[in-house]
Amino acid sequence: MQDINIQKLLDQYRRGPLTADQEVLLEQALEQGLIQLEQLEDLQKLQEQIQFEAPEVDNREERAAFWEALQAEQKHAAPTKQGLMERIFQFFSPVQITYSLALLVFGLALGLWLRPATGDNQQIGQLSAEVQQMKEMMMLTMLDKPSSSERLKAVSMSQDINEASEAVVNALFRTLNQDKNVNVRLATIEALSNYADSPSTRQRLIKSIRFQDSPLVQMALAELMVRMQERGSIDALEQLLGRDNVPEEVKTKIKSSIDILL
Amino acid sequence: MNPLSDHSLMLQVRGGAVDKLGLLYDRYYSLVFSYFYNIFRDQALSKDLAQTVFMRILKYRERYREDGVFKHWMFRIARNIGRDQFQKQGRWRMEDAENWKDKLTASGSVQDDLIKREQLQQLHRALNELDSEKREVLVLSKLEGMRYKEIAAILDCTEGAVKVKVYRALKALKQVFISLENQ
Repeated sequence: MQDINIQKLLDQYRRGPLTADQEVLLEQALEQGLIQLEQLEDLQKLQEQIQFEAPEVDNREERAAFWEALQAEQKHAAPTKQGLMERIFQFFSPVQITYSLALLVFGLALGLWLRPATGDNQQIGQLSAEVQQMKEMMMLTMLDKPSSSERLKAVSMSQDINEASEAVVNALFRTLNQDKNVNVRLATIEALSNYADSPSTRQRLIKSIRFQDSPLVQMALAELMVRMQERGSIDALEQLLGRDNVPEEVKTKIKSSIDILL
Repeated sequence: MNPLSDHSLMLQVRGGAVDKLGLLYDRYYSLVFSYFYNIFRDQALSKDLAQTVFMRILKYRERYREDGVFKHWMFRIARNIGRDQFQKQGRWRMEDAENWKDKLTASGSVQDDLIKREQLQQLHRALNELDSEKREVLVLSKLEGMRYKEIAAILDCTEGAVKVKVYRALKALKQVFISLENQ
C-alpha cells in the first residue's frame, strides 16, 4: 500500500462515509499498522469519553472464603517433591542455564588471561564502587515512582547491591512502612531479610510489625521473625493478636510463630 | 526470576505451594472484578464471577504452562466465565443510571454540565447495545495497564487484529450513539 493512498484514504474517512471497498482497505491498513487508531480522530475522541470504572468493592467475605479454600486445598494437596535440578529448571530454561554456564566459563578464562598487573586492581575496585553507586541511585529514584511495578523493580534491584548503604536500607524501611502497594511491601520484606544480620535492621523490622495492616504483610513479617529466630519480636507479635481487625488465619499463623520463638 | 513475579508465584502454586495463589488473588481481584463489572454492570454478579475465576485457577492450576503468562491465562479464564454468564442471561443487564458515577470537569456552567451528563449517559446506553464481543474488546482496551499486545495474547489473535476489533467496536458504538441521539 503506497503512502499517498493511505493519506487519501484518511482524507476520505474524515470527509464522509467510506465505500465498502474503502472500509476493507482501512481495516487492512489498521491491521498492518499503516494507520493508527489515533488518526481516526472521531473514534479516538469517542474512546476517550468512554469511562469504564468499578465501584469500590468490599470483598472481605469473598477473600476470607478464598483463603479458606486455599487452606483446605493445601491440606489435601501433597506438594510435589522437587529435586534440586527441578527447582532450578523451574526458574530457568535449560537453554538459559547452558548459555549462562558458557558465559561464566568464558568470562573466567578471559579474566585469567587478562588479569591485570596489581597496579590496575585499584582502578577496577574504583570502577566497581562507581557501578554500585549508580545502582543505588537508580534504585532510590525508582522507589519514588508512582507506578507500583517500577517500585517493585527498585526493590528487586536492591538485592543486586552487594553492601547496601544506609540510604538504601532507610529507603527500604520507608517503603515497608509507607508504600500503599501490598506486593511492594512484601518484596521489601524479602529484600530487608538480606540485611537481617545487622542488629539495628532487626530492631527496625520488629518495629515495622506494628505499622502493618495488611494480613499478608503481617504474616510475612511473622515468618521472617521465625527465620531470624528473633525472640525480641514476641511482644510485637502478641500485640497483633490483640487487634480486632486481624483476620483469624493471620492470628493462627502468628500464634504458631510465637510458639516456635518461645 | 523474581520470586514474587506472577509467573514465579503461579509456578509455585502449580508445584504445591497453593497459598501463594492468595498473593495473586490480592494482586488481581480488583482488575478482574472491574472487567466483569464493566461488562455486566452488576456488582454482586461481578464479585461472584471474579471469585469463580480464582477458584477455577486453583482447580486447574496444573494446566498453567511453563511458558505461560499468568495475566493472559487469567483473563482467558475470565472471558470463558463471562461468555458462559452471557449465554445464561441472554442479554446485558440495562445499566442502572443512578449507579453511574459522573466525572465532570468543572465547566462553570450548570447547563453545560447537564448536557455533558446526558451525553455520557447516552454513550453508556449505546455501550449496552453493543454485542458481547465488541463490548468486551472495549472493556479490555480500557482496563488499567492493558496494551493491544496483551489483549492480542488474551484473545489469541494478532495485535493488528485487535486494532481492527477496537475500530469495529468504536464504529458500531458511534452508530448506535447517533441513532439514540436522533430518537
